[in-house]
Amino acid sequence: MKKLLTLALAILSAVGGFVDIGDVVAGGTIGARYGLALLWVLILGVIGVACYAEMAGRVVAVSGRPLFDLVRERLGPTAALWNLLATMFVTLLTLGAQIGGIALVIELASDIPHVVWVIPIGLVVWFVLWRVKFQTIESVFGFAGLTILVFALSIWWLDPNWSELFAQATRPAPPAGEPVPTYFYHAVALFASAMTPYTVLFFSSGGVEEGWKPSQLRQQRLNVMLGFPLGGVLSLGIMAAAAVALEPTGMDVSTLGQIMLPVALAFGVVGVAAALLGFLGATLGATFEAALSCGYALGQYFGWTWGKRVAPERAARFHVSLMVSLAIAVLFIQTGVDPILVTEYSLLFSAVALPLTYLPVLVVANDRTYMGEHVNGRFGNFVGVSMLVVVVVAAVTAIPLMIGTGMGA
Amino acid sequence: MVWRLLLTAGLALALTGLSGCSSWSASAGSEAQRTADAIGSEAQVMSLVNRAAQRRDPPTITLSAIMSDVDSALGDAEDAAVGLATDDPARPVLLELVSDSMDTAADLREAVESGDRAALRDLEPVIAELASEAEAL
Repeated sequence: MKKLLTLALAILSAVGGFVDIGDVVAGGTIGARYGLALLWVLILGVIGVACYAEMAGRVVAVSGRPLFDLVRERLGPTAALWNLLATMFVTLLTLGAQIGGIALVIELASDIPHVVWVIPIGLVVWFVLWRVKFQTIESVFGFAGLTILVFALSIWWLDPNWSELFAQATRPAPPAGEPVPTYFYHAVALFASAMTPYTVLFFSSGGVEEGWKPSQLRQQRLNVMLGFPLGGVLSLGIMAAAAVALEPTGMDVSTLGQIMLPVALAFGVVGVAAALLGFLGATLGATFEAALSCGYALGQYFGWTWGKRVAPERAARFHVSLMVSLAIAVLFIQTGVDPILVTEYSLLFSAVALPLTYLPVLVVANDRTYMGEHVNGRFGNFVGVSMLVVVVVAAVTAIPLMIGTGMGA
Repeated sequence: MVWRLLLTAGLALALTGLSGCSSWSASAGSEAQRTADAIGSEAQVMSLVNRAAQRRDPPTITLSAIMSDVDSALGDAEDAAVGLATDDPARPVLLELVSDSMDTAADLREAVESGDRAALRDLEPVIAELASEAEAL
């Protein structure tokens, strides 16, 4: 029973780790514009993040050392510094997007402008990071995030044309009249939303904090193989609900409120309350993960004592770096910048930084010095290298597509 | 062998789809067209808000917050219409359309907040007309 509970909690953490404001925004905007025509990208993203999270988890379980530490040792301090700078930039931007997302959720629940909520959110997040246990944070927010399933349920109530949905899902091409570059711009954003760099960094660092051992590899693999696809199902629910309720109207989704409309139509106030709770859980969970990832990256690169479980007086630099990262993100969102726009930029810059996160994982997972008998197998390398090709294509095309399409207009 | 077949089939499917009926242009139309599209999009949002507000248990606060976003987007559309060249024939049409949309948005917000179903039903054809006008531009 205890084992089952542990497994359930771990899967819940992986689900919570997958869904964040980037997935919500990408799912809603893309579903409203293309229906399910970009489902193939979501599937690719889930395969990619599950594959690399498994590798990162295995590296941690076998070596007992965090990812950034190994990256620095394996690739040298200069290459690792570039990696650190890119990771920090993207993760700070993502952290800002998550905080903005929480503020938008509260705005939708209160009709009070989101800028009013930003500093209180920053204080609450800091307090929880400081006082609440790692596992409690993961489980509570992962569980709350599950209520996003209300989007998938709403599809039945909205009485969709199932054959049309199936046709969209099986035709990996833009609808008539839609520019191809814009379609690929959204494809890159959706892919990046699934493979956000902080996810793997957080997952592997969390593994060190929890003291994963090689004997736990099976369970760790199960968490990844069940948790991330379940997270993908939540994202698919948002996309499909938008495809059913919003796509036929031809509207252009640009706010979080518009993404809520399918559940408002299907279930009224109860559905909206569940969806808001889910968004709150997902964005709060992602905020903690992104903030901790900033501390993890800096602590591991510079060789500080780090860890959520280490008392603040013994890991002062780690805890200060968490606080400073949080303060930077809060102040950025407090300027009044549109959180949805920040989310879109964070996805695009994440896409650019993806190879810097995933290539080192593949390199270390293939190094027998660290991995011994647990080095990547042929199948793992086939999937890993294939996904790396997609990652590199996404990274190279992200900025030209962003400029060429005017941010997917 | 199987992988090659799958890859070839996937590539063929993608190319068929891409060459069938999509444009390779990165441009999304003129400024006037984009403004008309933006107004049309907000009209569609109002239509869905109206439908959700007519439920027995409407999420009034959230719908009201969504209407705030509509107001803001229509304000941006108005700025865009004002910014068009004065000799652009679309300018006066867009300015009138955005003005009508703003009035309708105000009426809709009031009806949503008061839960006035009769007013909500009366607004349905008005919103549909706005959406049609925007689409026709």
